[in-house]
Amino acid sequence: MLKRLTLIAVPAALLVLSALMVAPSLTPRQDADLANVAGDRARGAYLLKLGGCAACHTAEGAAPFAGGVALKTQFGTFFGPNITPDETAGIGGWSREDFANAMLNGKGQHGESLYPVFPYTSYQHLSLQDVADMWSALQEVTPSATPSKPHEINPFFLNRRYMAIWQILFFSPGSALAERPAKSDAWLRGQYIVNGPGHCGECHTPRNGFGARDEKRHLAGSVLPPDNEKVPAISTAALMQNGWTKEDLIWALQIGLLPDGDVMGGSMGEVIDGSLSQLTDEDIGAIATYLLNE
Amino acid sequence: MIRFSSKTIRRALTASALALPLLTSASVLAHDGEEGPQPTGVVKERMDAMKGLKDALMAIRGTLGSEETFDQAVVTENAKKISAVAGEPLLALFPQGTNEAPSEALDNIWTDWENFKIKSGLLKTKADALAVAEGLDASKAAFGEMAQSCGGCHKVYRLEKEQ
Repeated sequence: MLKRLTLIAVPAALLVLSALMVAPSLTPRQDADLANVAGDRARGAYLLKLGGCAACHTAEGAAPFAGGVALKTQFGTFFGPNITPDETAGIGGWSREDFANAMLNGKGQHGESLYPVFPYTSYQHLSLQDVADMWSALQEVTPSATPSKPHEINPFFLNRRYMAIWQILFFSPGSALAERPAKSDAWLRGQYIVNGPGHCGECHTPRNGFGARDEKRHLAGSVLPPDNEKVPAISTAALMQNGWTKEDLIWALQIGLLPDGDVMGGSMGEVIDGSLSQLTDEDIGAIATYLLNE
Repeated sequence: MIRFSSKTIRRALTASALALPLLTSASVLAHDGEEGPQPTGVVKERMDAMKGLKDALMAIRGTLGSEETFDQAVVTENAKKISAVAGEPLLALFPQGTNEAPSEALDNIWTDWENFKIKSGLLKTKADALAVAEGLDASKAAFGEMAQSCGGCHKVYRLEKEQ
């Protein structure tokens, strides 16, 4: 009986898998909508900071956005690629539409499914205007001929078809943030930053065994492999329970000062240096408003 | 079948009632991260010095909320306290290899001593700048820069504790 089941189940599963692997991308591109959006370099430069892009794409002491930063995960070590406008080493050969397709749909220039270590699972919430602005700012970056480092990951995952399956299972493009709840402008802006460009949930929301975020435990804290760095919960409930005030949060986000007088190091120290400390007071206030659900 | 006398039950209840506060205090201590070895010697001195820095930072933070709460004297006084600890005195608190538990100091402090020295000096420079900053906005900006220099060392030379 068991033998017969195996005889049927295994080929059936293989059939389904191969069907998934050859299935064309079902994700519609936003090319037509993007056509009428004019990008703004200055806004884009600010958005690159808000998105913390340099954290993965600028190595210490190296050319801006030339890549090479190692990101260790349980699946292996990924290296942020060169995203300067260099024709061969960077993304100089990309169109603005290709860039939007990567940011919003998690697809590379040739339609390949990108690894979610690039947080398109958050960037999917970005407005087309913001994507266009970021693209404009990236055009101003000095091209670097430094080639992107190949990822050092489990060879199984080098086959992008498995990432296509991952995307079918764990990623649905488009933004649910478009449904605006009746909240203040600051709250809505905070919601956009935290879930979109700020991609806070990529570290603060726990992940399942497939490396996908468990949104049922949104911002409930996590442990980052492989070094088991503990990332605290920043859900409204957790912050309230630990007595965080809005003032506490603003100081912590802006300069890393915790309510007990300690100053943060670790990964969050880097986020503060590279991103949060350079944001406007309004945006920091908006993040705090949203996190405390005020 | 075993039957417990009311006396046995009462004794058991009394014992558990007595044990309860012990268990509670133990778990409270564990939450506060106070379990494990207590600091001694230079590690204790160092942790006390860091505690002093934290208190100074919070005293300054307390006045920087608004024009109403702003107190130039508090900022200047505490910035001077921080400056007095930063630089050479701070380095003296890190003799080679003194990072036994509960110290959070990492080994690279000593393999990377020159850079550690520069960073400790930077804290002094930034604290001195804060001590001479005038007005709320300038103080706030200088305070932020000084805190970043704290984080500059914590990021590289401190074991990240669990929160």
